Amino acid sequence: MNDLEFETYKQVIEEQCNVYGEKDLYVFLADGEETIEKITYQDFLIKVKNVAGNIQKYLTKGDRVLILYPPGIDFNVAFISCVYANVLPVPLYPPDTRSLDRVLNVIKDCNPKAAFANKQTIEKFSGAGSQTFIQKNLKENPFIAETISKLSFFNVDEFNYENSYQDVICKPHDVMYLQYTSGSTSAPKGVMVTHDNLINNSRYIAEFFGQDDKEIVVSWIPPFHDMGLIKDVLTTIYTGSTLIFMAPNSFIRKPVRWLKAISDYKHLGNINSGGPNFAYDLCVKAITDDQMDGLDLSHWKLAYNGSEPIYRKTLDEFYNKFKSVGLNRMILEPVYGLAEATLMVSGPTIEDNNPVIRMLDKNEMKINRAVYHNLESDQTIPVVCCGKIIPEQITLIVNPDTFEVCKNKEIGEIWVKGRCVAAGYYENDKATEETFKAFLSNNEGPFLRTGDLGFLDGDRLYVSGRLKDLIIINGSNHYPQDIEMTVYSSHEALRPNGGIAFSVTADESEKLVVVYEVKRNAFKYCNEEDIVNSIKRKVFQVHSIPVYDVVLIESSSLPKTSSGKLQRRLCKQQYLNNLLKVIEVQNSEM
Amino acid sequence: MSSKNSDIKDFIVNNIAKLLDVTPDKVQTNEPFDRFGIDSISAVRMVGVLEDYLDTDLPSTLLWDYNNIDDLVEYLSVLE
Repeated sequence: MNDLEFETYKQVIEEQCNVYGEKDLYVFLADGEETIEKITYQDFLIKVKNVAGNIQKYLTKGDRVLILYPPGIDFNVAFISCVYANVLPVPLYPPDTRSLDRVLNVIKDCNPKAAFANKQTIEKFSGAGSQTFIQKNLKENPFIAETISKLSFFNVDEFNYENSYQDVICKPHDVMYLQYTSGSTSAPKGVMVTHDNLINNSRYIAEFFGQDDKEIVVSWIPPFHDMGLIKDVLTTIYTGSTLIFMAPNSFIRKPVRWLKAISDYKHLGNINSGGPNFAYDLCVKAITDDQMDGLDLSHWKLAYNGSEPIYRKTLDEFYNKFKSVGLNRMILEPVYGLAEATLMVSGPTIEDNNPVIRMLDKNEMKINRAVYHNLESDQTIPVVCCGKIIPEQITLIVNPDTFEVCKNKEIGEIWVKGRCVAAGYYENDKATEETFKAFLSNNEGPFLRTGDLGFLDGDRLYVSGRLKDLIIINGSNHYPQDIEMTVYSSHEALRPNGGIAFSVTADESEKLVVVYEVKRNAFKYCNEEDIVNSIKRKVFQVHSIPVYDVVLIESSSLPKTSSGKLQRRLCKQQYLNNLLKVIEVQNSEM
Repeated sequence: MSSKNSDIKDFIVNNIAKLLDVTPDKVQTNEPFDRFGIDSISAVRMVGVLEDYLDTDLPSTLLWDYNNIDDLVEYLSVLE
């Protein structure tokens, strides 16, 4: 497809649905396995126009519309129908008891006029009875309750067929949808992603991933996440491919379903499929030898790994486990991106011998220099290359204090300027100013500040951590993940991934604090003092910094996200506000 | 308690113990699930493991729908 002809994603969809007509666009594995729901390109367009024609009557340009469907074809139809009706879709995780606060805060932030949802969800919002979201919020959040009571609810299957669609004109710099970021629950921010952003990002994804209409995309990534939506739902249309997909829960319940779909659909073409680091970990842990019987991964051409820190250990273990069923190590491709830059900032490099892993000198890293060693040792830290930066877009490494551009292989904050940088946060000038309007010391700009630390080696990008998590003591930089590893190795009562290191300001300088979970039965064989001293000694030996405070907490009480990522900032807040579940030591000597 | 119930219970206790990296005797069956601090991915995985064991379909929200292991076992035992 020659995308120079297209200025909006609506044009892309129209063209591709006409060109690919009877080809399957979306194939949904409803139970993660055999039960199939599918739709062709041309039927998808007919459905989209019908739904758009129906909702046009109730909405005007720019109205926000929540998409609350669980993953499935209805979600994709509803999303694209909004684009055709010139209103702003807002994809969200369908509300349940755990995600309710987030949904309500997004409602507060974007003040939607309507929502697409299935019967069950509509009932939860506006059905009769005291347990509905309206009733529950009436007292505490009257604004939210009122917004919900005024919402029009749509369900794609309940529209009669009518030929009423009125074509609309979109412009390249119109916002196409709002992507709420996974950051903060209490003050969510909606990234305004434009047609131009999306066309460009899809173009680079297709180019970097070598994705074309002969390939098959397999996915379990939720469509309310930018990776699932852009990489899988949208770019599939852009390239004329077919998307075979399942709900994230289908994958998490039985991780082998992901690999089985990759294996089962290989007769249709080469497979393009990926996910965040934890997905690869989960496959290593949960897939049994019996389940591997009959898998054939030899047609898996590209397995991207993104949206979370990428670990060399995961790449190694995944490869070692699945090489016997045809997995090629070369296909494991780390990528880097963020919603504020649409999705992808750097991606796969077919010419490299992937994945590229560098052994960085620990001491040089403290003074922001990336110096490679040939061999791994206790003086090195492995860092995974996240591929090549998108051309025609400026990606710089910037010193976060002086705002000067760093030299090659110097570590600093990643800044981006170009056609994939989104238009800002929806109705949030302050956050937009801080994040999207950064200028270099020579006044060049505006740039997007990613908040991530890394370095460039030519046009290859390496990501080393989060700027806000960096611990700076006596002028040297320490990465929390390194200190946490050291702490874990210091005493047998501590579990891997069970602790967090951060710095606090005390006595007018930065001090290191370690919060760590202790195994439930640890005090049978040791005491608190033992553990604290071991931690302090080991951290000083390895990193040459004193530990100001060690807090031992109850097992499983460390703040983590649903996928098990450590929440370092939340942990620091809990520490400062005395909210940690500090372990109570029963007199173990008695 | 029937022997089938106690089989299901042992199975759940052993799996949760494995998940939390503790010995099974540390898992209290009347302790609310949220006290274990199981993340939502592990909770959904647990449902998958139970589905295989019982050879039946279960909702992904199972561990949020039932307060503790005792309540869950009671629900599962009347399923068939």
